Amino acid sequence: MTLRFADKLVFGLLFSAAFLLLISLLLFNYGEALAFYVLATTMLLSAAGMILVRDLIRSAFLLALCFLALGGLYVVLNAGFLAAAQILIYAGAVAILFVFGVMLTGRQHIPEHEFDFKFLTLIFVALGFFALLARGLWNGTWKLSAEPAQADLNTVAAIGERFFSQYLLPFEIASLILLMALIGAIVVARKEPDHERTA
Amino acid sequence: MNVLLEIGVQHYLVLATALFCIGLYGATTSRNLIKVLMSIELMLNAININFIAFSKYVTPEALSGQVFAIFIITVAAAEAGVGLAVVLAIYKHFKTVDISKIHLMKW
Repeated sequence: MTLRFADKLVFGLLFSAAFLLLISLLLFNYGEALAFYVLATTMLLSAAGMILVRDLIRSAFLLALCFLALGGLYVVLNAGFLAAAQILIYAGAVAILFVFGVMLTGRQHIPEHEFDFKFLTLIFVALGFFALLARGLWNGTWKLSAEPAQADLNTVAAIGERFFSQYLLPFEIASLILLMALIGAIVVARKEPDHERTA
Repeated sequence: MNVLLEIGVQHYLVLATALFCIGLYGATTSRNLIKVLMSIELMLNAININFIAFSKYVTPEALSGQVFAIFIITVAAAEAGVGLAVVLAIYKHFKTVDISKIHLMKW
């Protein structure tokens, strides 16, 4: 792709405007807003790209990028432990699991839906659901806490205390669920031996 | 302008709604089983944003929202593992992951 001089000028102006906007946001002490908007834009764009891109491997890695940006949002939300868990579990384990799934199912080409009435209805449903919910949420009044949230990210100790006192039973059930999922996944996905198939 | 720069709980809720709707659109329109599973993961993550935003803005001391989010992450990881195992079993049986060609339980 060759760019004409006018295109270069337009792109240069756009980039410098965006740069000036970022710098001014930082200077006027809106670091939180800056972090929120950058991370939210990255997350939404990579999520939309994940849906729209044809190649499945690319969409798996865009999913990982989306999870990474989400981990950054958790840092903005004072949830340091969850940010670490998000990056370890989602961007590390689940995204790679999907990459393995894509590779094991042999990247066959599946044609997309044709642009018919049903397709249009689904777009309308998603957009309408978003408009309805977003309007209600934006105009709603929330019973927020009066004191400002604590700024430290060190929530690990507090979460651990809650896990072993108030939420002990759900914690144990969660470990049981993980064990069941592990055994179930192995049983469902393993290759059937020949002597079991004939029996 | 000030409403947009002072990040409150509404910003996170609208963001989570957008992510959820992207996931909903993907889960209903894609024809690949693996892409459907990925879209479901997006929807679960949108729920997590809600829990953690409420945990910061409504009950910053109790941390219940963060604990709930950890449980959701656990169940979502288990769901992804079992879901992919089911997809692999379906692929071994039908030799395809195209949803419109899997009609064993359709009539």
